[in-house]
Amino acid sequence: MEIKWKVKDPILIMKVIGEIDLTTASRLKSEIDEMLNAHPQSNILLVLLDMVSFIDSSGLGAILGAYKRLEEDSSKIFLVAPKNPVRHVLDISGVSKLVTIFDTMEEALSKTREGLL
Amino acid sequence: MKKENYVKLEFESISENISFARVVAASFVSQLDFTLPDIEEIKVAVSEAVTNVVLHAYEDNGPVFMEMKLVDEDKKLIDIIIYDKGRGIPDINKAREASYTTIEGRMGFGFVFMESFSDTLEVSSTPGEGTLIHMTKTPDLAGEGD
Repeated sequence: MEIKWKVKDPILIMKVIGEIDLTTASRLKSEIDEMLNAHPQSNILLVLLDMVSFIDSSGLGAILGAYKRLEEDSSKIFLVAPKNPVRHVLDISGVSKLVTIFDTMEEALSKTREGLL
Repeated sequence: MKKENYVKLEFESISENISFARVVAASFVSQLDFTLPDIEEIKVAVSEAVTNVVLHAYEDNGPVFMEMKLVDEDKKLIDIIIYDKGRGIPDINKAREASYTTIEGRMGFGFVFMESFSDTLEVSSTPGEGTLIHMTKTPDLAGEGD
């Protein structure tokens, strides 16, 4: 799994590439924690999932951990462009009801910036 | 044409072998007419079963056993058994409940996904002796002929 970051204050964009399971979920979680600590002024995290080919409950746990942390700080996490089978797993677990999912990054940036105005 | 096939594997209960197990499963079950979404569901189910062994079965590490059998006759079927010789599950019904977990920070969705992504799921466990997960899945033939 590879993670790439872009900072567009106050928006953090995390692009994840590869598979998210028990082996990689802890690194995902720790990278999110590190970035949130390093950018306390950021209040939106966009997680781009279009290059994620697999996710299971370990990966969902890492995403929900970030969701809880951001909620506590009155910040938001959004998921962007998950493809099947990832989308299917998000739906069946109920995560897609909890966390807003955008189909494209353009839509995500547009909607989140609208919300910031 | 009647066809049967099987594989038996043993590997160490370390997290690196979770992806190994699901890739092997995906490769094996692709011998039947599963759709890609079906195969992805099998990969998740296998990933959850092996993850449970890695996280819960042994104090340190131990063996994971994985057996798969496919039947390609009038009834097509994939049969997957994953078992360990670890500490076992004291209360299977409790363990199968959604959101139940003994490890902080985890979702407790492992069994929910196994159940959702297979046609049948049986769990048997004896404390001190180990746990066995038995899943079956049949290709969805509803779309055949389209």
